[in-house]
Amino acid sequence: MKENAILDSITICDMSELSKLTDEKLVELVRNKDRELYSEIIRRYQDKLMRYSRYLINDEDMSADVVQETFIKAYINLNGFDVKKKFSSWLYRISHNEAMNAVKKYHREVPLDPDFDTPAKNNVEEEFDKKEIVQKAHSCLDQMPILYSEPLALYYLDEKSYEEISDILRIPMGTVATRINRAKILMKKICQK
Amino acid sequence: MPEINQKPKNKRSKVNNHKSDLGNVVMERIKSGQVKMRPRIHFVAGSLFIGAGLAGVIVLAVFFVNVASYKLRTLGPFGYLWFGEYGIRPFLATFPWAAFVVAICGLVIGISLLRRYDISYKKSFVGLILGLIAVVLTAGWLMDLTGINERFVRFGHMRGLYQEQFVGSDWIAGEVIAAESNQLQIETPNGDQATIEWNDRTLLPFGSDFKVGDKIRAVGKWSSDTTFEAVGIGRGGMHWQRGERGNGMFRGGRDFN
Repeated sequence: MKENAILDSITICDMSELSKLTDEKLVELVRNKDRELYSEIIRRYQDKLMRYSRYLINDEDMSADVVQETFIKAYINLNGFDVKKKFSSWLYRISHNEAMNAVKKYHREVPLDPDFDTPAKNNVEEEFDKKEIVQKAHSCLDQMPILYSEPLALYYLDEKSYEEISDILRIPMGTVATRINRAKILMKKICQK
Repeated sequence: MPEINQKPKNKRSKVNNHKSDLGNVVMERIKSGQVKMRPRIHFVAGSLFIGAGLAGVIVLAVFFVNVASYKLRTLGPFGYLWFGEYGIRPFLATFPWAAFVVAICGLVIGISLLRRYDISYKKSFVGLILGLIAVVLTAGWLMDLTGINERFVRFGHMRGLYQEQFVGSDWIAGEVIAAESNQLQIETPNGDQATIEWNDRTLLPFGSDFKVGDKIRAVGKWSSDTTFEAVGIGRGGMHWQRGERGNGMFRGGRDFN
């Protein structure tokens, strides 16, 4: 209710009021009232998407290109976004697609070690608590195949839920859980070296 | 140890590696009108188009499964396989390949369109595919049971689709209209008549007690325009009598009996 009141009252960009709005309400504003409010969306997600793209691409310049393209494509397709869904998942999905296109374009190898495709052991999860993983993640993620590093990074670094990761990667939640578990095993192997 | 991700070749950045410029560049392009939002109708039309496409290819797949079912029961291609190597060519010639290929293409396109919906990853996609295949096969089979194909066969412009091959260079299928010792007079559902001659070496997997009215298929070779020397003669399994099945609203076509 309060957000709706803010929505109605905003005619000119008011940054303090804007920051109280959810992403979805902000999208409605951009679509229906003032396209320049899109800068608030950029402000909210620029750093997050830069970090996300960096561990997908591992290249600063290309990551910036990917994020820029993400914001442009998101703006072009903003009317196609269903405000009943989570905007961040939608935006991350666009960023994922852009990053994958960039990876394909530059023939980046995404190696898969068949040894890692073994059932996850529950006790491995216990060996790593969240803080440890976050500390080690930055140094180890680059050495992991994207297939595993991406859901792991989304879960621990971007603090996305399994459902959000499922929406971003368009894979079942069970697969998200399996990949994260396998990524932990892989992470352990890499980080302990 | 897995291979470490290779860094791609450097490409000149559009934003010259200044993160702070990134947002400005995007906003400038938006303000200048270089980048425009697509209208809502674009997405509504897209959704409708995909939905209609999905429904269309499923209907197409059902229809061609129905055609394939009809051809399988009227031509009975599997019956020729009783005759071993002699039956392979007739089987290949009478099997409804085209209908199956179109049905499979419809299913493949349908599945690829289904992937655009969230349900494709929120539910078991393999389960969805198997469910779709089961629905299409069942619906196609039920459609054939209604007798709708018999009605279509009567329409001139549908004849190409329902082209039936009861006579080939080394096979023939039809109904016995006269039975004598080692000789059968048969008529195909298309009205062609022929004499089938057989001897002690002829393969007779269902026996030699042929009677008028039996539906038979034979493999062998033509010794004249109307005489067929049988290497094998089989019985039953064919249901080409139009109108015999489907005694409801779709009953139609001439009755072969």
